[in-house]
Amino acid sequence: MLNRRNFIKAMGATGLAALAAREPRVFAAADKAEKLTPRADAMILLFMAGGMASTETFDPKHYEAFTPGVEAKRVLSTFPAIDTSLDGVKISEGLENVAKVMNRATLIRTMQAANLGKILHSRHQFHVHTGYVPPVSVPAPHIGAWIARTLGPRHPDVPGFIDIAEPLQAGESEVVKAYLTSGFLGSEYGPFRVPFPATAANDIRAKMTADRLDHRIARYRELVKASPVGDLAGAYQQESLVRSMESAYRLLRSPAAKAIDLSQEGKDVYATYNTSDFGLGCLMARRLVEAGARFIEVHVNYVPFGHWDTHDNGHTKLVDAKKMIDRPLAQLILDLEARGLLDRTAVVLCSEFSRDPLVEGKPDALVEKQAVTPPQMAEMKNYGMHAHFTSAGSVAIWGGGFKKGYVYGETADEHPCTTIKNPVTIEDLHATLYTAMGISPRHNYEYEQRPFYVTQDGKGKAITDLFA
Amino acid sequence: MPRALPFVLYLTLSIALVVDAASAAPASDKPAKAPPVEFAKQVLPIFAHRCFECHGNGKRKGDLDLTSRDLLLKGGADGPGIIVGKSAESALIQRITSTDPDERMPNKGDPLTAEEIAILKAWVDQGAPWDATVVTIAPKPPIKPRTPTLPAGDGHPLDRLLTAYAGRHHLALNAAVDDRRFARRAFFDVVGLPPTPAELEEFLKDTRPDKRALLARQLLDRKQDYAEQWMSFWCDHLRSGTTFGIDGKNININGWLLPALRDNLPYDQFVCTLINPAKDGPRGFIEGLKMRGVVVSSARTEIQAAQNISQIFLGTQLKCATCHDSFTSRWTQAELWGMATIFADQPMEIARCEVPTGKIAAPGFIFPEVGTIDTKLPRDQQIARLADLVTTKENGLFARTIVNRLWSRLLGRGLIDPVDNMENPAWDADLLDWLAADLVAHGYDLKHTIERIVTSRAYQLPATDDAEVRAAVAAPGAADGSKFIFTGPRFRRLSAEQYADTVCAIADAKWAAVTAPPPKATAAKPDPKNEHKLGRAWTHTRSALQEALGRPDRNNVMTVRETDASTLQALQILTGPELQGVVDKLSAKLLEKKLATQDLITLIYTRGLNRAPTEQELKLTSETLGESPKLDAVSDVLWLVIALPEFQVLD
Repeated sequence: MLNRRNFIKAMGATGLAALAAREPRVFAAADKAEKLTPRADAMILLFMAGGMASTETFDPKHYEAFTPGVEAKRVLSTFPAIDTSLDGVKISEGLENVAKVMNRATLIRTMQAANLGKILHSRHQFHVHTGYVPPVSVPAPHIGAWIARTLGPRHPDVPGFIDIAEPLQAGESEVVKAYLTSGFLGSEYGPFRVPFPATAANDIRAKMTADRLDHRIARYRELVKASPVGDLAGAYQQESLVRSMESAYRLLRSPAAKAIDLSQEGKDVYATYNTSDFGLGCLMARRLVEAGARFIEVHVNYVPFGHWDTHDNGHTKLVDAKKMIDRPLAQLILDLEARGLLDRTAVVLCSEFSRDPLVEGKPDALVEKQAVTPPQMAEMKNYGMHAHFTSAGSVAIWGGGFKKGYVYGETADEHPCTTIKNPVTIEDLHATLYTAMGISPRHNYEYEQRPFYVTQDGKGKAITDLFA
Repeated sequence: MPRALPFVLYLTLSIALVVDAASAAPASDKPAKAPPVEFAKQVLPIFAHRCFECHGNGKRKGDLDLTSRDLLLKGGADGPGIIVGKSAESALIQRITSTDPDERMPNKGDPLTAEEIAILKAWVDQGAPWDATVVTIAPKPPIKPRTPTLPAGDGHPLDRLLTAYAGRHHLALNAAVDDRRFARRAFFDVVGLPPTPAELEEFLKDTRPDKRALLARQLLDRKQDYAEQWMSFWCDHLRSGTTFGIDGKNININGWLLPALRDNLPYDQFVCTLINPAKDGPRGFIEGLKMRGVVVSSARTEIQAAQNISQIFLGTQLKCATCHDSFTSRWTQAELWGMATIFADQPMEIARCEVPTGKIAAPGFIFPEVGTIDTKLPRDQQIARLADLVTTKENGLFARTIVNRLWSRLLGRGLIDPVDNMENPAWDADLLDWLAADLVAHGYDLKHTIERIVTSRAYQLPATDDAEVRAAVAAPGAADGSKFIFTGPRFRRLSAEQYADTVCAIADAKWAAVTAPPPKATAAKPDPKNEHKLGRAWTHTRSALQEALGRPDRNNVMTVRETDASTLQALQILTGPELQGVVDKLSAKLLEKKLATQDLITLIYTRGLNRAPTEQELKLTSETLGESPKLDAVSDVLWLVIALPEFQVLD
């Protein structure tokens, strides 16, 4: 019978590392996977949870001021359009700072949310984050986990997938939780969560002094060494558990830990970003990209009937929602640019679907309404986009090798402002983002003896027209 | 967790591939300018989507089967399928490029596209390399029960079978582990907690020769503890406690499941009840994860039912056959949909990759050799009949699947592995089949099977890891082509729930009482008895710590949990607020005992690790704790012990 001790000694460190590789395997010939040249090294996804009305933000249409009894059908936008730094392209009032950086953006106006009949936040949010419509028969990973798994971290001690400003505290936290997952890729790729950016630096340190934590780790190492189990423990488990603890400890002292300490920013900068947790999340995202992060998601978190999820008082609520994003978003772009990071960092703003005053679903496939808008808007609370619209949503992308100052897709100027040219499916949007990161839309891993692709069934096609 | 192929297998196949490609002479008269064709990604999908319908999946029209390179080379009624290196002379290429509609293949649907034809031509010219790692068309698993004859001799039946196995593989089996290790394994596996120092002491002192068997029985009789330990296992399989929020109707059958486990409901009845529940029964399992709005075929609840029945109870994956006849097994859409339609209110029209085919699914069981379903029966009787066919004694796969799952849970790897692929050979078919027959002979009493396994020598061997298995496979004498040699149970991680409960056990606490903020009970709603008040970790919200330690969200069937260590897990243990809060509370409780430094340390070690600290450990932890322990210092020492690999791994 084999002597374990000698065998393990003979194996050496490299062999041990190989033993531990019970990782998801690239389906079939891993080395032969299609290699693409990346345009971007990092990605920041800014998620406008709740359904951001495109005609109130990046695709303004006929503005109809509120007057009691105004015909709902006439109300395409409740804000006037404003000029942007991109000639001939307007966005909505309230986004004045964003307007200044639109000349650096690629703007998609025709994102097609899935046709699921009823309009359901959780299913659409899951789809836009994983590429798969739930329920899925296998645990589908978040786009950030796919990227972290496939590309690895940029800096060895900075987690590959970081999620910011989604505290999972709203009534529907389960909805968000379902997609904030590494799925079958395993927890190593799974979101490193920073729910509260303002206090993150303290939260991550735990409620103890650095000295005390250092003492714990020093003693931990001594006790591991002193353990009478020693060589009798499974080499793999022993090694990998100790290694993961060391890696967690390094993380606490890594550039990532410093990056999430927002107190290290100047007061003015902090104030510019400090509109909300989303705003601070943008600042943190910038700092994390500087520190070597690969994929970061920052949320305008999902609050049923709050933020972008407007079922009444849409106009009033969006004044606040826009304030929340306008300054930090624009500053993020400018800061990344000033640091020379924008060219290799794709900043992607999207939502799960758009909104309309009347049309629930797709114009040709109306579904049961979840908010009632009277045909005439009698009161201010009726004034806004209160139905869920899936036929044309806006996605804005800055940097990362995308064109600067480019609009893709056209929507109708008449109600409902649906897609009339160049629809972009979620599959193709994801394919485009993966391609920008150098990952083939057909990249896949083996799960349950079959390939599982980064875009559904490997079918996504990158819209190469968007690349600079 | 996706599983890597056993390293050796992977290596062998990779080498085979290289040799295959190298031996292929580029004999084509045209120089092969095209880039190398990838069989798995370019060729196989064409075969699978356009050819297998007639030349695969058990069908061989014109005697042609395209499911392996050899079969393709051999060809059909008209001669060889291809001439390697010569696309122009290959029947395959001639037929797909023919302009004669009677000749042209595929003869159903559109011809292949120019791009597809170019790929196949280039592939043939490049030597038709066939990557064996991807296309192994799996057979269907054997279904008949079989009762192997036990080898001569006395003693535990499993030991006699294992001795024969060891003999065949020239293995010298190690001695059984010591009493302490055995007790820890048995306690964790049966009741989910470590023994208390008193329980362990009693066992160690016991001098009866059959004390291990007595302990196993004694633990299995702790009905409530047994049920709570196995709740996690069954919730993972049955998706009880899905978390999809308002857009999905959540499954929660805990109110039925816990008493069923407590009463040790015979497994055939257990499954019958799940497949064919009464109105007030555990309907969630069969009703599935019901989403509001439009769903694709594979997400229809009837399809979920068919997929899950075959996966969970028959160890057979039919998910592939949802959208098309499986490319990697013999299962067809008609078989999967036939089982699904039994649960449907309306006739189901089979859709191939979401395109309706016009074919109406005919009710049936996927193993007609066990029995058929009379399609004239009303639906509820069809469901009852299906439940009978799944659980009947004639269905040997039913018993084999569950004993294999139990073996896998108790020894860290199945007799067949992965456990959802019962079509694969067992590393010892006699062991598997005997254990299955034994379950049936004992009235489908799962506790009986657990007892059999726990009292066997196999269970009591020292733990092994991949390195040792690999060495055993490579050892001279053992080599008989086996890809796996059993040398003992695997080292196993404690489950998320076991970890949390064991941390609490150190200070006689329950997770529910010490977690802050108090998590909401997930088991509460359908359970009139409010079992969540019992307070073990399984009853509570899947927190960040629980999630990181591998507790799944139950939106998917999870038959084997992820057990790899990860940075995020360690971070939860190192600084996670939840565990830190618990450690502080437990430390306060420990402090109340007003123990001297060394006694307190000894208590933490004996409760957590079931052993006294060594002198060196005592010295190190005493330094940390100080002579008059303060809360922070107690908390530090407690943390040190629960962070150790030894605490997290069952050896």
